[in-house]
Amino acid sequence: MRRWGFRVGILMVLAVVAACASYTTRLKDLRGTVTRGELHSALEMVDKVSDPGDLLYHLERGALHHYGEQWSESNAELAEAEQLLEDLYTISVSERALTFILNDEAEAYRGEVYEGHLLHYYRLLNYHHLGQPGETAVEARRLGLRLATLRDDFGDDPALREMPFLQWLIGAVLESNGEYNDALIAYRWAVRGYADWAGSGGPDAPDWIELNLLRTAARSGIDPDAIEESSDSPPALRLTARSQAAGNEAELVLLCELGWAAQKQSEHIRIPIFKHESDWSGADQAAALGIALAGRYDYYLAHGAWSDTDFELAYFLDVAIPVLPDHVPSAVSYCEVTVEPLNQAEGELSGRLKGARLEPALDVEGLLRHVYRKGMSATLAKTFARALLKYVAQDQAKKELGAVAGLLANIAGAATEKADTRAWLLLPAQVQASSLRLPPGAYRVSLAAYDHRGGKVGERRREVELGSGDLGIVSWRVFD
Amino acid sequence: MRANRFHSPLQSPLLGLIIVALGVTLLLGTGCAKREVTRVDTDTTIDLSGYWNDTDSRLVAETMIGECLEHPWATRHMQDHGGKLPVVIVGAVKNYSTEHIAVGTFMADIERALINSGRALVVATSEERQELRLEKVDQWENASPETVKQIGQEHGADYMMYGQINTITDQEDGKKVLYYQVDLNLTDIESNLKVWPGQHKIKKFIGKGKYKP
Repeated sequence: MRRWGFRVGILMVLAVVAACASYTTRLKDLRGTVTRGELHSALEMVDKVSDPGDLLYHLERGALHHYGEQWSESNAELAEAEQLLEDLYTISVSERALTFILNDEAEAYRGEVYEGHLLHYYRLLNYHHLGQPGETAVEARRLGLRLATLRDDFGDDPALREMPFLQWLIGAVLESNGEYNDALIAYRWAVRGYADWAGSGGPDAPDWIELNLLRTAARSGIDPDAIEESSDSPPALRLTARSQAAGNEAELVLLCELGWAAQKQSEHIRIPIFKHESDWSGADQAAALGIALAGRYDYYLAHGAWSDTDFELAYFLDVAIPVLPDHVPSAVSYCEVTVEPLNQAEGELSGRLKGARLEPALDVEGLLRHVYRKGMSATLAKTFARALLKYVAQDQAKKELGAVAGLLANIAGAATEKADTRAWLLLPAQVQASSLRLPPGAYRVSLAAYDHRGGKVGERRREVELGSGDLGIVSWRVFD
Repeated sequence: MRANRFHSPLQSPLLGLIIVALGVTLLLGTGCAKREVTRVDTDTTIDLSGYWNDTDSRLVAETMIGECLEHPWATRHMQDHGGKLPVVIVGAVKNYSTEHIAVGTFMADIERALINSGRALVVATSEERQELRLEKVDQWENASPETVKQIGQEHGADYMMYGQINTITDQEDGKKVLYYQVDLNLTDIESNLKVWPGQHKIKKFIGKGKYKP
């Protein structure tokens, strides 16, 4: 009888442990499946791992439909995600309490701030590809509103404050919709954002952004010379801006989304609790010790030792923490675009070829690492405090109720402890972009991806027709 | 030594285990909630998200068209045209808001309000006219002579109604104020004179609690 009970217990524990695998472990084959182009299998994979009440369910499905060029389906999923994000403003106290007992995944995933931004980015692209300029502009305004609302929250953080690439895209959409004043404001934020961010390690502003700002100023009836953000721009640039403002050219935006953003992994660590720390009581002291242990872990990472003093060990605490693996550069180093005028009637190429190399515009991986680093101290402190409480519960169960109760408490504690590795897994590592001004007409656009040695690894061709003042966007997702 | 210092309920291992078990049960049980569907009258006002919805579309259209037809232009038109009702075409209503508003539904609500008032006639939109013209061409080829409809006998509109929807959003800490402004203009197609400028505003407050049980 006791042997049967033992076997059932083992099975139950295995079931619980299996259910408690981290998010990235459960979806470890997702990226490979998408890279192979098996989008239907990838959708099924997401269906199995999460459910429609989860934010990530809709974000991953939204991305999958977008990659499959199912723009309407992608928009429907991302609209659900946006609604969930709004609802998740309200914190469930019971869920939050569970995170102090089980693990951080006991609480609904609220998404990182940049994931909320990129949700609008993909919706904007979807509406554009659906040929709905009005709805594209609505999405640009929604993204602008989100960025403006969150600006104060990141006042001291240039990486997250402006999101200049997104501001530039908002400006391009609104400019093509004839909303010059709003476009001008978006371009101003873009130029300021790149300048602020460059001062703290961010990328330089792509060349065309200042020209867009000056052109839109001229279109809004504002003298480009009076634009503060561009006070040191060369006179030739202002002349070009004035000339473009008076012209009827269209704008072609090229976007290459490269690679995969790093995904968090669960790592088990054993952190020492010293004798002088082991005599503590209450959740508040557990929290204080948790903060101290977070500092100890940082010290270990920096020095390879837990402490500079030879304290007497009381016991080791086992915890699972989310870690980011080292950066793996994308196989694609850069993308180039060539644009050839197309003789529309005959479908033949005619005229002069125009080309450009795309520039790094959005570093998703950089944002991910930045947000991870910012939140890591709090995550570690909470993880250690929770582990301390679990450890004491196990210890007490063993002392007061016997070895079996202690073992069960130990199993329950271990089975429920896992690192929160949740993230929007299908995001690219970076977005490269370029912008070309073209006379109205039909064009064949070729986007080519090159590796670090200059070898071409892939190409996408699209034909676009641009009217006067139109905005054309050609986007390409390169999974390598 | 350490064990003797724990007194609060949270520090009891047994209770801790029960909470863990309850937590797991709660987590596993969340997927079992049933979806409830109830049919309601289409005139019923239901505000879920607080954003622009069918009720706003219908009420704004009815209110603005009511104001429009009360304006002296309608009476003046009938006086100048031997008692004939004005003929209106509903043109574009542009959405400059931060919401994906179903503008087509709003335009249909405007047309319905105009027709139901009995004080104006409404002609088909340009897309609808293209389809109707194709139908007439088809009739010329396939319908019997006594039922075929004549080409070139369409009723030209006297006025065009067009407009735009704008929003201003102010939000902080889960509180949001949404301000909608709908501007409609009625313009004499022949003279380009604006005969009626209409404006309707809606202000909504959406409050969200920071915490729930």
